[in-house]
Amino acid sequence: MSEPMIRLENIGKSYDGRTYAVRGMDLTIEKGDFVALLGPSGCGKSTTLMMLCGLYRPTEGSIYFNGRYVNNILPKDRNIGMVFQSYALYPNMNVFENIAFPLKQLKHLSKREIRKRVQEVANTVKIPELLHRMPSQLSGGQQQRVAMCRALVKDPDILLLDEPMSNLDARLKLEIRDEIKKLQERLALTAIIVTHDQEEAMAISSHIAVIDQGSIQQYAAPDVLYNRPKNLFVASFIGTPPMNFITGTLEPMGEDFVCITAGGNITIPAALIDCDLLTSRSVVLGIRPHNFKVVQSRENALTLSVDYIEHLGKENLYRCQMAETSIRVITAIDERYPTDEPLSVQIDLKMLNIFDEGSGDNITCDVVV
Amino acid sequence: MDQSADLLLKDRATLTADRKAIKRKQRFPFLMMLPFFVPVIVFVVVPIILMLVMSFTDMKFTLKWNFIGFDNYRRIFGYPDMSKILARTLLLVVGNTTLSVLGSIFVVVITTYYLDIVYRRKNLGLLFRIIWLIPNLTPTIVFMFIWRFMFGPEGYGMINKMLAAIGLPAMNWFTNWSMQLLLASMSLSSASGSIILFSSAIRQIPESIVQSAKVDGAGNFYICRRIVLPYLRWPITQKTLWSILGNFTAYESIRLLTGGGPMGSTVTYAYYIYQNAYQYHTYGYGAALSVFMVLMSITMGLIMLRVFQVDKQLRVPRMDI
Repeated sequence: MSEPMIRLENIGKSYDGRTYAVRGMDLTIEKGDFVALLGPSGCGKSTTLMMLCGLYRPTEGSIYFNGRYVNNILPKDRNIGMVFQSYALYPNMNVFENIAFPLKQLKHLSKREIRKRVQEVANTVKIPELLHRMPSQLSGGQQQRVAMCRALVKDPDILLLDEPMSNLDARLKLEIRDEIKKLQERLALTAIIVTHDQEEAMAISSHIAVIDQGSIQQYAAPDVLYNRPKNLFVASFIGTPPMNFITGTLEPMGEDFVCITAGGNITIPAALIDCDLLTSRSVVLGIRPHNFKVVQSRENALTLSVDYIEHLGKENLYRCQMAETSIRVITAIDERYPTDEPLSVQIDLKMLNIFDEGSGDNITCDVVV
Repeated sequence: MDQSADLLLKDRATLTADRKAIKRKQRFPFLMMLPFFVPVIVFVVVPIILMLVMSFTDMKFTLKWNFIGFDNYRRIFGYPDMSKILARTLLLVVGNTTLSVLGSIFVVVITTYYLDIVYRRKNLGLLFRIIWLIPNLTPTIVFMFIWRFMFGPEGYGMINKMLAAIGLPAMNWFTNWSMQLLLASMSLSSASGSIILFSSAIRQIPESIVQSAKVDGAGNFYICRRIVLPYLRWPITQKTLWSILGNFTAYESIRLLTGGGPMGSTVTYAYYIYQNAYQYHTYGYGAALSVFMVLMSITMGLIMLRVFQVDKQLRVPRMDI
């Protein structure tokens, strides 16, 4: 059995000895994975990255790189490349010197070798013409590329990216995102990106760790996260427009169950639910806006009143009310429904997620935990 | 035709009226700036002119304006000790500037970089910075009085008492070491003043730059040399310029510590002016010496602006990311 590239075991970090920024975190990252640490600000994702690169020392738990215990290893001896949010280019050195900086710390390299490797990495990231400029003469996107070069020049085992695209404008973001992804695949790097932008995380990574309040809520591939969120936090965090949440009471009815909601009753097959349900219990139904089907009959459907319609170009978004709950329904562009009549919608049961209201856990049967 | 000519005339009339109104309006701001102009003219411009005129007289304490042409200036260049005085001044300027700038860089690197940033002992760093600030916060007269007391003669001076306590012979500090004492006390005082400036420059360095350098494998000393010190380039330039001009015109510390003695061995150019103008009351000669000093200062200032490329540093945006 080969060791994973990175293994975090019960990692915890406290700055003041009382409150924990990160607690009880377990994470396994295989070689070649591109993992996104995703979460709202202050959730502990940057702290986790800082512990991975060695600038912070974990208060508890252990970190292994390739099976080697690295808690006490200094950042420079971990063979990592890091791109900071602000790029952290050295303002008094030109681009060449910036990229050569990590190589100069390795005592055995000759000047020619350094020049060759800087040249190579600059070609890879497509900035060979910038080598003689000063950082202050570069645009944001160029600074970002220089920071990438500096992170890659040492041929690191692990590439760490701390919100590398948050200072770029929207179009440049897409461009750089593609390039980072291509580079990571071509160089077969193990990469970890910290971001609060879920779209970025979904697009770029092979696995996403959704973090909230210092611990991992779910660690899975982007599609799993999207279709089968493990709990209410993940469900509400992932997806734009967000998932609809409908509170109801689940009750046994014959072989199956029925969910009683303010907008109508819905029959739910027993095969869909993972736990033994003997008495009724409060649940939250989670349905993505495009998993509704508008129907004529009110049988097994929810009745909504339409507030207004947003025309999104490729589809229509109906902003609806169901009792106190606001619901978004996305329909095909050619389907038009009047706003002054109630709308009847059925739920695509394959895409339905059912959460226990008390614990917030997903109780749908094929949840990958 | 007549009508249009009439109109034109009318227009011209209103135009001149408008112009007058505009001129009146433009006068108003200058009126408001009078409180600035009056003191500048009375206390800066007029004295400069008076001094220039005075330098061509042999005015003494009788305050008579008796013009003697360029005699005073001839006297400056004819004074036999002038070369010694200028050499001594150069020693004080170069010595104090070097000692104070290097000294304050050393203190700031230890207190702000190593204690605050590397070892995260912020309170210790702050404590040492405050201690180092004391010489600058103390009024010059008090500071120099303390030095006089410390290096006083046998039986009085603190240092001599301490030497006696460990069985060493007393030293005549102000007889044999007066120039060294001047250098030490003056550079200590001005080093102390640079510390806030340098320290805040180090603190402006974004944390991520230091972190990035650590990840890239640089050691603490390497980071200090290649990342931190370059950030101090501008404050160091500024402090050096300031210190050179300041030490050139400094006389109060000399007056307080050595009084130019012993035997005139600590008389600098500025102190020589002070002696002539305020001790011997040869105002005309003092004025001529002062005019010459101003000329030297201006020349030095211009040379330094060139050497340090101050205009370049001011123009090029110092990137802060």
